[in-house]
Amino acid sequence: MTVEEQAAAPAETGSAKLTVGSVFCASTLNSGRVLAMAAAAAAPGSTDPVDLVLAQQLAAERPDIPAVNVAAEDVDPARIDRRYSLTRVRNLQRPAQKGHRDVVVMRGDLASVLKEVKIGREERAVVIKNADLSSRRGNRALAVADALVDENDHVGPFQLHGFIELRPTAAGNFADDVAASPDSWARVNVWSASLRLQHWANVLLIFTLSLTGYFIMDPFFGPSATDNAQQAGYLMGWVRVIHFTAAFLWLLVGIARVVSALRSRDRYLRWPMLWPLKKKEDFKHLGEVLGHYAFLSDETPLYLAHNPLQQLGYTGMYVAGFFQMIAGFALYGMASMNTSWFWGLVSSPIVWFGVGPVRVFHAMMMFLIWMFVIMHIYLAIRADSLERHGGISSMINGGVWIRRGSKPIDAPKIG
Amino acid sequence: MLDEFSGWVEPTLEENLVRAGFDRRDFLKYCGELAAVFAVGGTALGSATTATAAPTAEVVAKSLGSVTKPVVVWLQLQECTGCMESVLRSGGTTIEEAVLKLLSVEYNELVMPAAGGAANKALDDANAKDHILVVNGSIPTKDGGIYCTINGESAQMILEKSAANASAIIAVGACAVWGSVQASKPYPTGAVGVDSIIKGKPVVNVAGCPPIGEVITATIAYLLTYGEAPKLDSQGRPLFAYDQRIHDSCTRRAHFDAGQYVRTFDDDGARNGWCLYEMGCKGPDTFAPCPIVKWNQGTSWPIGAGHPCLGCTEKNFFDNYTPFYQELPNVGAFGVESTAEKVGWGLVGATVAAVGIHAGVTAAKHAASRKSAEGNEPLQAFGDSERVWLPNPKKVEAETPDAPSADTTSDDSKKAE
Repeated sequence: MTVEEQAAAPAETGSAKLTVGSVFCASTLNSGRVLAMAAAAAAPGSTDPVDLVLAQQLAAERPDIPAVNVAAEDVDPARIDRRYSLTRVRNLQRPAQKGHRDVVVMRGDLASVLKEVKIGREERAVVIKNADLSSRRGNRALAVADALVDENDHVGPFQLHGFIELRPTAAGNFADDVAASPDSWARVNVWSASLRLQHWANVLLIFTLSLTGYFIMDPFFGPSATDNAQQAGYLMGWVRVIHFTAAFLWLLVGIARVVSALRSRDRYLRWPMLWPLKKKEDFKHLGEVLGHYAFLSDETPLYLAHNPLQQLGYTGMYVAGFFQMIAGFALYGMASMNTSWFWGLVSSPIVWFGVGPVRVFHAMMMFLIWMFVIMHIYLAIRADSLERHGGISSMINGGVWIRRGSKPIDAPKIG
Repeated sequence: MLDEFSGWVEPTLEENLVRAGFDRRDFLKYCGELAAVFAVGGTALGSATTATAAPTAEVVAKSLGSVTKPVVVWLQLQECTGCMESVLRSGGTTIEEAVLKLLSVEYNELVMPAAGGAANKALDDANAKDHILVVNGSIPTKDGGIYCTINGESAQMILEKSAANASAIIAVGACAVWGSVQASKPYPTGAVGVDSIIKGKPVVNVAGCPPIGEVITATIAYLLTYGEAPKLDSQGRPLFAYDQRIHDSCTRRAHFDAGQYVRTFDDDGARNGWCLYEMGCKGPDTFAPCPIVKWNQGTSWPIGAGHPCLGCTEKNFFDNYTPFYQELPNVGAFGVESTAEKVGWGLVGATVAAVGIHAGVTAAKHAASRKSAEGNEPLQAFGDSERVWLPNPKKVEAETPDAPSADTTSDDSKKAE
């Protein structure tokens, strides 16, 4: 559900948790090669968070590029007076170049690296401009440059290949919002119009049915016999008419939901979505979501649509709604159960369990739905506040915001 | 006067009645009343045989008048005799009492003159004949049925013996139908109704605690008239009497629809005869002819007298409808008995509290993580010496993007190692 930490598995050494953003390419090397070069500039067995997150990112992004191991004595780490590291990578075969050559990789603070590389004014301006944009989104630019080493161990001129965005993995899943860095977020249309229509029809009808149903359960107000005793009304009559009308409309919504589960083109409405626990990982993710809500962990798996716990809740509500309709129509048909075979059939639960238990079930189910509604609204507000994905407005306009580069479990990587 | 009918002299019921001094007008009047009771269930429901019109008084008179001395065994098992009291008060005319007398009730603990061995012999003789079996009271099944024994035999043994040759079985009263109060929590005697013991024979359940006397005699008269059981509902009750809810024929129904409710038994609503729903009336849940036939020779009925219906014709009404004076039965869980409404609001309140606590923890965590500025650690790869974390995106705009770094580079920096 959270966007932030999914962009890459964060390195968790010490307290620094880093995330790799996008890669800016300044030469002919593609982003994968730039990443590989940056990852190569790490001492063996390094526990530096930057080294770790780069290795992880490389393995996740470009598993085809083999990781390069360098000897410890070939690494000259960055220092306060020289804010980049220098790493000699031996016998490197670079694409489009014949033979194996030793290179020295320069990796570190962009401003420091830019001073050392050979770069034209215009290219330099472009790099600085992009790095500036990146820094406004809360990134640091890790510059990558390299130089060829000739047979005499003479290091040639350094060429800048680009920079890699690094940012801290926000603690507690608190994401910065879209407004602060609009370029790093993408809007994804998730909820189809029919899904949203069904959602709001459910809201309206459950609200109406709850109010009228509560009054039928306990008519706690009404005309007084002491004042206006002569004023005849039709209070309960109207309440029941509204309740029954809303009930039939809710039944239509329920039928529409079943039809869309079988026939819709929207994958979020189709029936396979109703059961989220299909693979072993789903159970793991369910546990992670539960742990997150129990404040046991800050991390939670990223889902574009519903996480397993959420989906189980919604599927549970469909089941609850189904039984609520069964009980409600059984009570409705009771008056005619002896004169009509149809209502007799509909009222079968009355025969099985008795009227009292069915009425209690119907009432308790209403309270259960209220509990769900309270938790649902709370978690929607919470998720929208923390993750800034616009989840609440998505039920109106259909689109959620998700950080570019993140990899939801239930959708392809967000570009 | 009743003493005169104690013998069945003439071959048929009608001739016996005429002999006893009743004229045909009285008999037809009674049959007309029966026909009216049968017609309660509507034309299609009164008869189980065909979709004939409701029987007219003449039809009933013809069938009932030609009935020949039916033998009845009327058992009283685990019960309170209330049903028998109701039967004895059935109808307003002595002729109805005469019908009951002339049924030749050969065995009944309450009204038979015989006692001891003579009574047992009467039961054995009647059981041997083709007879109608009427049962009051439930049958305890726990501990070998020792909770109700007569003459050393358990209720179940007595019932099974009497049912063997019975041409028709009528369970009268809630006890005989499903066990009533004995079959409610805590259920110490394992009491069950007649149809749990007698399988393979149709049992007509005349439900109620007690049932209306007229409905009991009407059921017997139906069996005598048609020679077969009336059409029954899902609980085995004759549809001619139990086909519609009290609520739907209630004289106070208009007050229900108007939202005019009695709130306490002594308020103005009660004085005005308003709806008793708020007082726990189970009329909406209960199938019975009380508003139509009424009680005590049509004098009144519970709701008419200002008391909510208890739902006594419904199965398990003691467990399902108590406390009687609230709309919904209690919800029992974890030893807590409380109203559904209280439990529901409790759950909703607990949810709100849980959500509040969760939101509080979330907010506290949020605040703590902001304070600690986690992630503001120096990164060795950048040559950081101190916490230099990222510029705040909102503040960085003031800075010049291409500000030259103040770093100095050492001479050997271009050389590896």
